[in-house]
Amino acid sequence: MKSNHKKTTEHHHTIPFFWTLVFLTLGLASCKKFLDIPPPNSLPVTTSVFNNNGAATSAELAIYVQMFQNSESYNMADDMGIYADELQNFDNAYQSQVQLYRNSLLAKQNPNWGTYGNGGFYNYIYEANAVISGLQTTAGASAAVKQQLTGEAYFMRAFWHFYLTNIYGDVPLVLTINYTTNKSLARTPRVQVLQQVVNDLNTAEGLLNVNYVDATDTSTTANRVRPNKAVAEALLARAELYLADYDKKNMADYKAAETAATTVITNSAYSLSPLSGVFLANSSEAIWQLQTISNVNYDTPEGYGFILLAAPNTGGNYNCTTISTQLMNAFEPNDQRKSSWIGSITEGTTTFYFPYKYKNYTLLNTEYDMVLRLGEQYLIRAEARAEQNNIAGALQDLNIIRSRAGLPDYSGTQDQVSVLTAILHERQVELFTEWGARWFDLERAVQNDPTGVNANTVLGSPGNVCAAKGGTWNADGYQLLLPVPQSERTVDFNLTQNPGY
Amino acid sequence: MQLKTLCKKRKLLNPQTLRIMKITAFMICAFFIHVSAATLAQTVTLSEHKASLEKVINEIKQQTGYSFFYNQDWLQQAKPVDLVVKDESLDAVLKACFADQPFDFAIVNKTIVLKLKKVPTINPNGNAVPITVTGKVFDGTGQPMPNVNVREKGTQNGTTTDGKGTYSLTVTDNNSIVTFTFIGYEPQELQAKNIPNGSTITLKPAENNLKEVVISKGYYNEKRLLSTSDVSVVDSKTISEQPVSDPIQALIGRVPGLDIQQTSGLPGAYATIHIRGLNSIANGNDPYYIVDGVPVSSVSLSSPYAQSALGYGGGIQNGGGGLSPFNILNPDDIENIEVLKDADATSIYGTKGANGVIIITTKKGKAGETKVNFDLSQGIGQVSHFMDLLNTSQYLQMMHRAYANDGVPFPTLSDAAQGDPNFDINGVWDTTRYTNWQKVLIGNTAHYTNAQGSISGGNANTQFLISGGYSRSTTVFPDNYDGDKKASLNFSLTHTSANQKFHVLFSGGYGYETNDVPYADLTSQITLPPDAPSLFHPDGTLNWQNYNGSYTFFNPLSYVNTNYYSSANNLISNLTLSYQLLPGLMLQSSFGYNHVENNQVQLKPATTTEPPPYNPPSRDGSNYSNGISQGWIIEPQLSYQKKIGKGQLNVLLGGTVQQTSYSSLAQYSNDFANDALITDPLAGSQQGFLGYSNSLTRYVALVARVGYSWDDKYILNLTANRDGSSNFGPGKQYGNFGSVGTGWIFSKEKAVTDAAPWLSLGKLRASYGTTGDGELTPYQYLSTYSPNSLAYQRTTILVPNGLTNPYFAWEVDKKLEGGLDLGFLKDRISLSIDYYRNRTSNQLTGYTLPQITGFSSVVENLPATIQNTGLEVELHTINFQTTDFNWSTSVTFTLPNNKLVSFYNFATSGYQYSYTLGHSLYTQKLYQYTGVNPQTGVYNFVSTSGDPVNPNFPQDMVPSQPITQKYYGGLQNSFSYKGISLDVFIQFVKQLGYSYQEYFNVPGLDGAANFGGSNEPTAILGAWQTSGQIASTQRYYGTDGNTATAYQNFRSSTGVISDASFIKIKNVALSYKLPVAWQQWAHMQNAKIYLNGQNLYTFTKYIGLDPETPGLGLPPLRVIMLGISASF
Repeated sequence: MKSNHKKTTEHHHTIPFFWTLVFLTLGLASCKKFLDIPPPNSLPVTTSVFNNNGAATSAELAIYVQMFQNSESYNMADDMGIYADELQNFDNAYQSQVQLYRNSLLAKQNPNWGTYGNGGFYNYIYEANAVISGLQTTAGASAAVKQQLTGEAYFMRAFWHFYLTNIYGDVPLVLTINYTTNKSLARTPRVQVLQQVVNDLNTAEGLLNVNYVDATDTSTTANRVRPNKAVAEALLARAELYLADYDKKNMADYKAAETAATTVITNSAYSLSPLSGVFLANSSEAIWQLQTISNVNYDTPEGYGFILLAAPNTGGNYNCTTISTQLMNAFEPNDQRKSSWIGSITEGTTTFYFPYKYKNYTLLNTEYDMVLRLGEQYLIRAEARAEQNNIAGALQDLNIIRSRAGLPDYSGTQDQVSVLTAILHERQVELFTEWGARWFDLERAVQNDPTGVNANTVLGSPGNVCAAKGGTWNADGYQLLLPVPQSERTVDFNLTQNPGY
Repeated sequence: MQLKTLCKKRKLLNPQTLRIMKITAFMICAFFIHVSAATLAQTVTLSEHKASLEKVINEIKQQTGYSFFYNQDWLQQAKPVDLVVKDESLDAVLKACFADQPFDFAIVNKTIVLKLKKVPTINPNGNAVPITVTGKVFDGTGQPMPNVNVREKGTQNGTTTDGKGTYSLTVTDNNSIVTFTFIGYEPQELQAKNIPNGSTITLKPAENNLKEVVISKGYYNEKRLLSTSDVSVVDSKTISEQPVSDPIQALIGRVPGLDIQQTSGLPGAYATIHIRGLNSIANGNDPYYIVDGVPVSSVSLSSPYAQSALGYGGGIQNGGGGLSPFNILNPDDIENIEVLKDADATSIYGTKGANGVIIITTKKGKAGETKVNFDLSQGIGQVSHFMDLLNTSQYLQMMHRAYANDGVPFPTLSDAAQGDPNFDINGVWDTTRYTNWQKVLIGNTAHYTNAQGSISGGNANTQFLISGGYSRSTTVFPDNYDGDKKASLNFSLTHTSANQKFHVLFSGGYGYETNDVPYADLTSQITLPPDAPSLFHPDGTLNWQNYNGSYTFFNPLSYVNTNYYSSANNLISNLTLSYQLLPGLMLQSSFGYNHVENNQVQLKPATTTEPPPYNPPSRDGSNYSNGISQGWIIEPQLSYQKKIGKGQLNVLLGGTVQQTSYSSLAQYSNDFANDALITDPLAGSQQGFLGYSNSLTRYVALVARVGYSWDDKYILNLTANRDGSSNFGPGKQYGNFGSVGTGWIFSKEKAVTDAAPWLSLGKLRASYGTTGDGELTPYQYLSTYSPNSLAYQRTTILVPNGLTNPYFAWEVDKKLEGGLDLGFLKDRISLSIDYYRNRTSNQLTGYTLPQITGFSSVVENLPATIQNTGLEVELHTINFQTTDFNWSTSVTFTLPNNKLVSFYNFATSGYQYSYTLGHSLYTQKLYQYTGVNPQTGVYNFVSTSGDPVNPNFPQDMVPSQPITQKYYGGLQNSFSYKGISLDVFIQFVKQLGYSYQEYFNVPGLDGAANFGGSNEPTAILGAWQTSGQIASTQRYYGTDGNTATAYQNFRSSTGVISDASFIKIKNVALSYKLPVAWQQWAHMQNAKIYLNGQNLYTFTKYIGLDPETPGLGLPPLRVIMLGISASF
């Protein structure tokens, strides 16, 4: 049974098994670079992104997509609108909305405003800085593309710093993507932030194309959906005006605001549209609009969010506001903006009025989301001129806007204060629910006209809008600035809180 | 007894005949049969040389008190007995004693019944052709077994194996049965023709023989006696007795140190599993899983684009969610699950071992006759406990009081016309309605079906097993969801070459699972006001209870037509080849492959969009997603075993090369012409991609292990591991890990044997070593952008993925452990006590950054140390052991403790408001709650210095008690009486948890119906009402600012922490073995009927559905299954 012959045969049988094993084992051990894995298909590496015209463009366009996707225009209009005197809030389900409405924000318990600007503002600034530094450090993209994209990135960095400083006052100024230094930044005074905004806009103006470009960054398109030179000038006009106000009425800045606005107004690409056509896609008045992105069922967040199809929503973020009585009463008789830009719906015995600048509740592809428009440039120039005591020039611009609304020329007293007050009023009825303009005007007016129409006098006594909203306006007006988010302060110890919170 | 059984078979006979037969039979029996009886123990000590069987029988009778039942004449055929045993169990002694005898024996009710063996079959010609069988006998670790009894069954013919485990025996013919027996091991029987010459027989240790149990630690196997590791094993019996779909759930309470948190009672729901606490602040804490040698991801493959009640798909960071990746495994296919805990067991896994290792081994074929097993069961499941919620009148009373407290007029129908949204109380809804929403939404009965079958068999050289299973479990929700269905196929093939040198094991398991559950877990909707309207109109359409053209009620079934389907495929396959180069020197390589595919569809037809008026018709749409994960692993190794004098040396050198790739694609399609087309992604007018991702992880390791034991007394094991992972950046890929394990079996010391003969095992163990934790998503060291299908100017965009730090490395876990294993009275009592201390440093976390950096965190190694210490106890006792009645008990107990030991610059870390140095990671920083102020009726708090205060963040926050288990464990009692066996498993957990106030809304706060106003537990009925009243709930309120602030603070205070301890009758398994006669009639073996129950009853003071899953999610269901299993 233990015959040698048999054993030998079996031995031969298993020899191949043995060699197979040895072969397989050694074969594996020879892969030296096994751990050096290729980058994933699904995740382009940063250096390769900015080495390529198309990919670099995609990184810049992301900012516009996210701004649209996050409904920044609607959120600013809605949140600042209820914080000011433009909108009546019906939403009682979301604490943040109720707190905003009552001007009673708390530093520590604020779900929506728990981070700077709903969380996204500094993200846009990071992306803009990443485009600037990415294009600087790599050579792959063409010079023309680099120039346009860098210009847009400087513009976007300025754009969001501008809104941040208007909401929070002094804010960290973030000019790099280096998180090791950025994580402990302190707040930069508002005037310096605005000065940096002006600088960035000047840089952007020098880099950007005169025409609107398409996705090649060089060819011209009719779509006014990317920043160009005029877009930078338009925001520059506004930023110089604000800077002048906060920098002790610096006349040089008013002058600069007037100059920038004039450049835009005299640009033949732009003209005032009839009221019904202002907010249409690529209207002649549009300086910069956000294009509708692909995955939504509406043209603009404002159309979707403000238009009421029934009584206002009490439990959601959208369709939960109506035009306030203060704003309804602010319109002069026969102001066509009241009929053209305000809609209504009657449920039972109650009529609800809502912002109706955008007419499309659903996706019709006829309206784009307006960011900057010519109408505001006339009012900026009017104000800058009035501040420089050029009353005639101011009234000329004011009347252009009034006449488009079907109103007669300004007929009040022509002293500086009265004219400035008239311009503030005109801005109220012209720019309502556009990116929170009203709130920033009321806030600026506290500097310009401490006893006239400003945030303190409108929200506090005697107008007492804040009380009507169910809140209390503090005499020291600390609510002019929103609280610095507690979550930021817990990780960045250099961030101080605004007084009062 | 015998007679009774005999008579039962003849029930058709008339009673008269029956009685005559009985009497006759009795008389005949009495004539031949010698019956005797005595008393005492079940262990036997014998020292017999060539003694007569009769003498041995008498000896056993005297020592045990058992009677024998046999025909005196048979003893003439008996062979002389040679047997020396000391304190051996009766069963083992009888087996040894009768191995050569021409009798079989059976123990029936304290009586040992002998019967003549069947005469071996002679071949048809009557010419038996004797053949010789040769081979080797090994134990489970691959060690040859000397002195194994090899016998031709029913004859005196036999031999024993030599020192190398080899034997040679000539038997009557091909059909002769050869038996292999060795005390402490399960005997094996094989027909001679199934024993190829030179084949290997592996004997398996008997189940209650803890010392001999072989533990497999992935890379190598070792005998438990000589192990210096801490490994817990849960066997197939424990797993299969529990009616669970996910085999991991069968481990709850069974393994000390293993903490399993079920997320939901939905079929297939994910569970969070931690071994010995949290080691990592932000990184994954999941154990490393291996199924049949193949690593399996613990992350759910569920897509983030397909929402269901199971939650979105998991990720490492959020601890999972979605469908459990283990649910697709068939619990009935599992032979055992081993949990590796200490450094000695886990450091061989290097960067993957820090959180422990769970090894799942499936069943393999066994040599012997071809057997067919089947197992069928059916059952039901229900929510075992409903909460006491307010009825309509209590609810309205609460609301009235809230308005009265606030001094606000109660809303009326005319307010509603002016836009008041409080429809539950202002008259828009019928306030005389009452619905117990728990009964409506989660009160149905789920149905379970389970069918299993297998064929197995083989000869000494080749064994096979094929098994298949199907199971189905539905839900308790009102609509008819298919629930979870799964089918599986498992096979294994083992072969040993005739010369014993070459071994091959090929196994594979394929599983297919479909899951159909609602879009959202309806349990969250049980807070609907009790007067909420009916869910349906009489015509069967959804009711929105419109008022003024708008809905007043968010119908919880609004998503009922929003369907979620998931189907998953899973293939796990392994091939292990080994070749013996020289005696003791073995070359082995294992090749594993795993393929998991998951398809998910979320369909949202136009019929179930948002309520009126905000339901534009274009909202219908579907998401389709598909994920594939593939992995392969090759593990070559060389092992060497050598006996040197009294010492045994084991050396292992091995390597691992592993790759895991993952890819997923998700698409959407919207705006369908009609709902019938909704399953076809091409039918929508808008289509696009939601996401795409792919990733690749590679891993290499070199491992070495040297083990040396001297005289089975002193043991030293050294392990070293160098491994590298592609998840880390250049220069940070490789790391070294190692461990030392020692053991001293002091019960083998002569002094101990002499002084304490009752001590059957005494072993001290200690181990220390390092492991790493590199559980993180790939590519994080690279600065990358993600493509996004959203387009601007018809160009898709790229979004940055976050801030990048290329220099991070893995966390290092240092594990120290000491253990004591004791066995008393021949291991009738066995006790294991372990103390461990694990310290994890170099914490890899998403370091919190302010948003001004653009992102909220960056991956960094932080100089922080987390310590887990604990005491674990396992106790097994055999309380009662007789032929008829057996009772054994197992207890597991775990006392864990977690502590954040150090954290450099903690005060500026971003974690200072969540954690506290020197406290557990399970603590929360909370305000100190002191009760309801009897004067004002609002919640009161104190500052850190104890003064009453309106608390402020963060200075008034203090660390809470750890919100986790204080201790936990399980108690298993197993009883068997004749054919009936009963296992009862009780789980106990002493813990703190969040109370109902954390999950329910503010009592009295109304809003737009179910947006604000919601039902409450009756526990709030004692709310403060009048001055001076001592109450536990503050005054009801709707709008009052102070009260609201107090409530907000209460939610962030110690007031919402409550005792969530419970004792749960987790499992009861009752089975009845069918009488032998019935089985014979049906040609069956091991036929039994069983009744298994899971989560039967929970004893707790916690207010909620189930303290095991606090919150408003579906609790684990009470499941009762009735089944039958048999083999033939």
